[in-house]
Amino acid sequence: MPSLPLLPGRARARTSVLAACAVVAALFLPVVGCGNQSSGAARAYRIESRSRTIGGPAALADVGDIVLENDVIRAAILAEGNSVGPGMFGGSLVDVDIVRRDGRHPPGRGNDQFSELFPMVNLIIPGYAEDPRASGRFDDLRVEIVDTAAQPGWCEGQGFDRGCAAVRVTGRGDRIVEALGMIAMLGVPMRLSFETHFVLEPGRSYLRIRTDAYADGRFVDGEPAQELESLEAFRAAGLGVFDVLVADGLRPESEQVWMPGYLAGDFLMFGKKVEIFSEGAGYDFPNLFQRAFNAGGDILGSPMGSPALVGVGDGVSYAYASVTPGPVIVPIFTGAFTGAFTHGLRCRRDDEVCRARDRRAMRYERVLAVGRGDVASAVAPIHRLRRASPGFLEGHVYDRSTGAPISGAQVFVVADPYPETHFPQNADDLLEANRRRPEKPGDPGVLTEMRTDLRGDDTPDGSFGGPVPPGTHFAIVRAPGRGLSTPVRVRIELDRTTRVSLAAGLPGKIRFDVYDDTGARSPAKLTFIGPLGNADPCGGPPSASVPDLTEQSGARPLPFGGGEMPGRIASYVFTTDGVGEAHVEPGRYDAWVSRGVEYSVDRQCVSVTAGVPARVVAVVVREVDTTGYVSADFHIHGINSYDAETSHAIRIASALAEGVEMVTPSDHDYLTDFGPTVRAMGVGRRIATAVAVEVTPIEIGHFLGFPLRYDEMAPQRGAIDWTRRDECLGREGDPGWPDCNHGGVPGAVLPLAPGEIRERLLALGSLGPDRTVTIVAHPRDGFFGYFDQFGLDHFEATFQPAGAIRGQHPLLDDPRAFFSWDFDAVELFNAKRFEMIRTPTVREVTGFAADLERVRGDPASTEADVAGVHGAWARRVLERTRLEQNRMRMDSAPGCIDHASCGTGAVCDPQRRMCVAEGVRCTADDGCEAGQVCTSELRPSRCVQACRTDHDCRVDSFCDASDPNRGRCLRRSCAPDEDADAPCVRGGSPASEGVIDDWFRLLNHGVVMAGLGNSDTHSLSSLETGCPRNYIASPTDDPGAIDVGGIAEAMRPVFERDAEGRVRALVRGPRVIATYGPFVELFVEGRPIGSVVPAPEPRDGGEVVVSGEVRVQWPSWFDVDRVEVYRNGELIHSARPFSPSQRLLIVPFTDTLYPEGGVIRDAWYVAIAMAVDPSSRSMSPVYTANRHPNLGFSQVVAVTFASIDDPLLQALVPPPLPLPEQIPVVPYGVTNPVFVDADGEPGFQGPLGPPPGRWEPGRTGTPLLSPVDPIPLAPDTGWDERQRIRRLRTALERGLDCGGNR
Amino acid sequence: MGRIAIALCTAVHAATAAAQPEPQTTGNDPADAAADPTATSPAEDEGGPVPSVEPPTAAWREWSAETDATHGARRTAHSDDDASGAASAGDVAERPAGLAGPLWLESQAEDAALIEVGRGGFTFAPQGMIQIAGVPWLGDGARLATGSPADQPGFRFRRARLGAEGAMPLDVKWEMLAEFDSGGARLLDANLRVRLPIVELTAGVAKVPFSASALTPAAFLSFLDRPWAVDGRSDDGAVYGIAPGRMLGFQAAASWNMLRFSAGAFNGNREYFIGDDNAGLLYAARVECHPLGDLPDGQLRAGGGVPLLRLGASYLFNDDAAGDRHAAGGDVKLRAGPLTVEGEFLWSRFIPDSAPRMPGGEPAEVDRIGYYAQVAVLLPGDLVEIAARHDGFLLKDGVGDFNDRWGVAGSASLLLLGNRLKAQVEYVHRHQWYEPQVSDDHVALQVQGRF
Repeated sequence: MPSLPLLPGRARARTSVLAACAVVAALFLPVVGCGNQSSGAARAYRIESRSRTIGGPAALADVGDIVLENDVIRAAILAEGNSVGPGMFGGSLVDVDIVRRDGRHPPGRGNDQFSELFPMVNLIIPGYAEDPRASGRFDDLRVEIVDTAAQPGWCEGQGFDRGCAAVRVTGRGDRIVEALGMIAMLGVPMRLSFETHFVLEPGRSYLRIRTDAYADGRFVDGEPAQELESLEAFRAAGLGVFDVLVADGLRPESEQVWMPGYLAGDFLMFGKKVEIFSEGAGYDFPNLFQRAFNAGGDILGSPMGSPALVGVGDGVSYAYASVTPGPVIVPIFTGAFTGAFTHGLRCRRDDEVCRARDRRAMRYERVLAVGRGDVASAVAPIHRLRRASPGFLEGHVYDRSTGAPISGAQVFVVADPYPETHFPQNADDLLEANRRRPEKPGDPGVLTEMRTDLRGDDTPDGSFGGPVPPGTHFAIVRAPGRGLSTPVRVRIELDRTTRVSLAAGLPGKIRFDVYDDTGARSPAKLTFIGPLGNADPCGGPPSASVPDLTEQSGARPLPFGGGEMPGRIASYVFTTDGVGEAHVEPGRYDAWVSRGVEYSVDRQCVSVTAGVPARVVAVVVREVDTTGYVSADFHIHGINSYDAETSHAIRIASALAEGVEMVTPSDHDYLTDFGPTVRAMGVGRRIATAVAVEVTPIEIGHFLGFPLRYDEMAPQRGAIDWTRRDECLGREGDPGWPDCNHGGVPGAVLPLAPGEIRERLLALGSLGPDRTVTIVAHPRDGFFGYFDQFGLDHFEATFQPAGAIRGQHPLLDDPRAFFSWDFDAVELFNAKRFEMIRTPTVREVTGFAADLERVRGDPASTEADVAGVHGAWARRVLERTRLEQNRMRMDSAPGCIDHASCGTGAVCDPQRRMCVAEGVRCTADDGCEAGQVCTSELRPSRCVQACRTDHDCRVDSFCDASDPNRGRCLRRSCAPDEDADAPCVRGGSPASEGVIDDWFRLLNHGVVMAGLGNSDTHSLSSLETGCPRNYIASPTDDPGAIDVGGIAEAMRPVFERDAEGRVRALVRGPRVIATYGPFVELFVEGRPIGSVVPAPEPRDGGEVVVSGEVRVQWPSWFDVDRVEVYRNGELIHSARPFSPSQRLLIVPFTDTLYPEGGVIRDAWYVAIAMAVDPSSRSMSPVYTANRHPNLGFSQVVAVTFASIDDPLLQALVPPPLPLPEQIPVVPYGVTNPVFVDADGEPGFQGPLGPPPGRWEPGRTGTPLLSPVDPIPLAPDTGWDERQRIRRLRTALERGLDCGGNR
Repeated sequence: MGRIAIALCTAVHAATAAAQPEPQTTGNDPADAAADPTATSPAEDEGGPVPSVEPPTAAWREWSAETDATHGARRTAHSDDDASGAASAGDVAERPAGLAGPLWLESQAEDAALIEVGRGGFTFAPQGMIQIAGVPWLGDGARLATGSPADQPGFRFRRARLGAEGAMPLDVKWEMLAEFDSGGARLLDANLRVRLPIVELTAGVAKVPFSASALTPAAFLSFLDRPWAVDGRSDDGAVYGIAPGRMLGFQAAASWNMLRFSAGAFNGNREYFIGDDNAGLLYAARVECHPLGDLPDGQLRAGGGVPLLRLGASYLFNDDAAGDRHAAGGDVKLRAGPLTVEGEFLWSRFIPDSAPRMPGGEPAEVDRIGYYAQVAVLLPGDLVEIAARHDGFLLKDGVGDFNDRWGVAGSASLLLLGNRLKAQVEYVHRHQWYEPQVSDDHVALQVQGRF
């Protein structure tokens, strides 16, 4: 088929004869394109109709993209422009599936479960490059079909089979994220161009991916490509990633031996719809990163590797490997940003021949093989491609008792570490014995996995088979609802087939019926913990304490897949109608039957015998009265997100089981409509939904919006393209086209700014802009946090300098121009990120670090001990004392932020953020008058007034008044000897910014956003739907009658604005309660949250006494032990219940507002309820504990620098401070404010006035300060060293903030 | 096996022939026949020839036309538990003159179709059965998967079956029967039968010729269920009992003298519509000996009360995907007047095709052993039957669980309208071979109606 012209947009339907041809072909020739190809041949063509796409749960390709197919597999490659997947640019491989002839999977309705793959060399990928003036081997990103028919011999000439089909992608090197630009500062070669061929040969079940990378400026046309080396030698030499990329580039030239080199591979984003397997680690591969990270391991210096990386989904599997034997090195595995290296180049400085190699195309080739849903079928084609000769294992799995064949069972082949006469007791013993092998320490020895009766196997006879390395191994069967089988020994011989019949483990089942207090069947979640030993607690009232059982369920060792579930949970089940069954291995189980935070929990002990179902009859009773409010979760992901796999139906079922009454799906850049699913399930009277989205820019924060218009025919169902790439590319010269680069480099395309995203969300609102809610998601989540990325100063509501990482992004480099204050709501809690809620103090961080070090240093300590330290300190962070809150200085607002705002003759005193008279120049304190100090933070240095107390300094500083006349503000460093109650600050930023403290400060500045708590769930167990959740004021408590527009109105603050639209005053606040569990209500002067209450009449002294009441309810299965009341961010009252389990607490309070300058400032009140005492019950196991510290992009960046073997760099960039993150779900709930209007101006104004960082037209000025202290030059360093340090300083003095502000 | 059976059968025949009373010839009045406790009830005659018994009506003559040599074999081959066995007819089954209402009902064969229409060699006879069970008392530890009808208290449908059978020219018969439950309709029997001079061939879904108890129609059980060893299964359909039940395949049946033979080949699975799921076939054969005359199914008196004896032996081989299963069984049943005594012993062994090396004590081959012994007596008036049973089962799969057990049970059945309407009450006590013991005794009631 000839190549078609490129489509300008991705979804422009072509009304042509070709389209008609495609339709006919789709109807009558499901596989053969337009009937002009012979059966079995490979071919490539542009998609002209959605009926020709791949289809499936992860399918992304649409009209205009390219399909590669033969009679075995089909794949799709994106056209030019934007990537609709987790990547950035077109030209990536997004869909792959096997050809299915079962009649249920015609083209367009396949079973693709692959996310995205695109080449990467030195972290650079083919794209457009932000600066179009930069030179490159290729001018632009181009995706085109290679016309192999018109070029006879092309395939053979390239080393492929005759009749191949190919797609060529060429592009200039670009960064997947702008922040990676700072890597170049380390001397890593990053100016590259790419030419990649995706090749499909006839009859093959794999794609060959061949990439030629060109080092820009050094390539020589006409030279043959130079094959890059396998990484086997690098691995054998123990080289880490930066040992190759940076090599000796940071050393003095005289010491340099190795040149900065190249690592080549792909960004390999399998997504969450497949489980990742590697030989050795098995399905535990992803968790190894987490555990290495938890233990402080060097995950970049000693990266993990595997002969192949396999993603296994339901009915399809994918194996990625180098075409030639060699390891796949995976230094980073965070799901979305997974880099896999297969080849490399490293040259000695004196090896001219080697150094000349990058003047030619650097070629490397990988393969992506497609299997039928297990590891073996995906890996088998790679063996054939490499002409390797393994042995083979095949057989059947059957039920031992009945002899019946078992479909869907997994057969694991595990290395045999024993003498031939020895057998392990069970699978755990075998895995552990393998981990103790001296030649492969820590490797559980899982070699491969096969599944019975794979898709396409029409005979459900329990058959399996596949290649296995020769040798003696153990085979273990894992089947749904059964225990693991006994390990049995099998011998595999080279190129021979061994046949075995394997008995599956024993089955177990629990049948259940759940009723509510009316006697009707009730939705519920059933959590089964076990199998338990006889000594383990089981059943009984939920008032009994639940030990933190951190081991995995016996039937699910992590190398055998199924994912990690904390608390030894074996299974959980959702029921919407109160009846069903759970499948578990036989044993003793602690069953918890729950229905969210408004109902009781029924806890029972259940014994399950093989083949004989046990029975649970449970009752859940409503214990919390939420009349007037409906519960809602506005941040949930599902199958339309690349990093989630939950179907709509299961998500809805989970919401019902958790007692959530409204959900809005927030898939990444994809509009999802739960409506049809709710109707199909017949649960419309129990839950409300609205179309929503999470706009997911990579570097400027994430934003939610609902209710939105859903367009079935639009790309991503009408979601906003925040990249604007498809909109803007090729339109630069169009005078009517909007500015696509924010006034930057002509020809470049920059993403939408947050304010523009908000406006587009409002325009997309299905009920109009006034009833559309826009939400800032996880604003302090480092690289994905809006506040973090724009450098919103936690203490001043202004902006910090962008630094070396954020400064790579043109929008983040000018936050005052691009930050928007106008979003309606912000997530105070997100998921189980308790470390993002409150700002920790010095005591909390240093004490935690010390305790953690102590526990880790104790060889007798256990995982539970470590978790205990995390849990104890995390609770202390959540609890605030008055002293701690006073140290936050919520009443402090800078009087200036730059000199321009101070006028002529005055400067902005950087110590105080106050305008002072311009002092004399100085070089030392001696040059200043008494009571002044010479500060180098002004350039040139000038005399400023000396401080006397900490209040004379900024919040991130303290006053060193050891010399009373020369008191100097010094930066806090979070040292143990500092004020223990002060926030832990290092380099101007807290160790972790608590969003509630951000929110308090913004409220003080009149920036009112609804404070929310959303689950951000991507799964079902580790992040449950509705944990946390929101209670929104609603005129109806009937979920079936919820008015989505009314919910939107209740969430949005309403402001009075001036003629120019600027905010003057708040007239109504959001009516929302955000909570993990406690239902907290706040009334001030008898009015509920969201109210703007007139202040009571002042007393004789002019003061106003405000009275209020906090009312907290909670169910009987967790505790509440503390209530805090805040006014204007100041902790004014705290209380404890008589008993943490009393279920209702009413806390009356009074507060006095005093006039300042004759005026009483407006005030706001917020109440928080929590359970922070270690003896109080958490919400486990109904809501599972957060077992691991977060391993996100921010942490990866920090680890990256920590892994660079350079003492100076490591000294300058200390590792991030440890924070308590592993914690059970703490009962914690926050009200939105009640506002008191006391200043005589109509409505509520922020008591501290507008935020100083708020951009106003015409106001200019640059921040005075860099948050990084000057780097001293060592006096004895030589010239080379000075040059090196200077280069580092250039980078670091811009503020190396490790992604965010940590 | 066959020779042994024949020799045994011949010996029994010789030993009992002299003691067998002469059958009495009855008059044309079926009421007389019913009233005469010594009369052979033709209603129970579908199992084989009883030459000395004459049917009382023309209709009975039609029935008796079916009582040829193949008829008894047919019972063993696909006879059904659901009143399907004797639904053979001439052109039209007519109500005998002078009979009306229940009197006429009781004159019919115990398992005959009540309604039958036909034209030109085609016949159509609808059939159906409904069983409603109730469990007034149930042990606290009763489990759902014991295969007991008393899995939970309260009333429920045990069976609701509807189907039809009929005949076509060329001596072809057909049968179609479905059962309805909470999961919808399930096909029980669907087969075609062709009678050839020597054998009768059956194709379709029917009972595998194995185990006398399994071949006994459900309508004629003295208890609510067969012994666990025969066809016990979990609520998921997983089969623990030794008899394979219904399967899709072919079988042939023949008779010679007092011997009845049947053998067949089947898919070896229960998913009729997906074909072969085990990469092999199940082969089964059964031989029966009726030395005193054919012993029919049913609970009413047979053969006019004369002793009737059935000796049987079964064998099957299932060439399954994962391994081979061999099973064998022997059974005996004696009916004399109001007394019925029966028992059966079953054994099977599963041998994996290619077992891997396993740790000691881990069973590679799995044996099952089961047995039962049962006695039932019709009380005077033949309206009430009381029965007692002892059964046991051992599954040597390395797991001692609730499947390994023995039990004793007692029941009483009220048989009305020629056993078209039946009410039963039973008490079952079970005892596990292994600890712990489970309180899963029960008292259950059942009402059954069929046509």
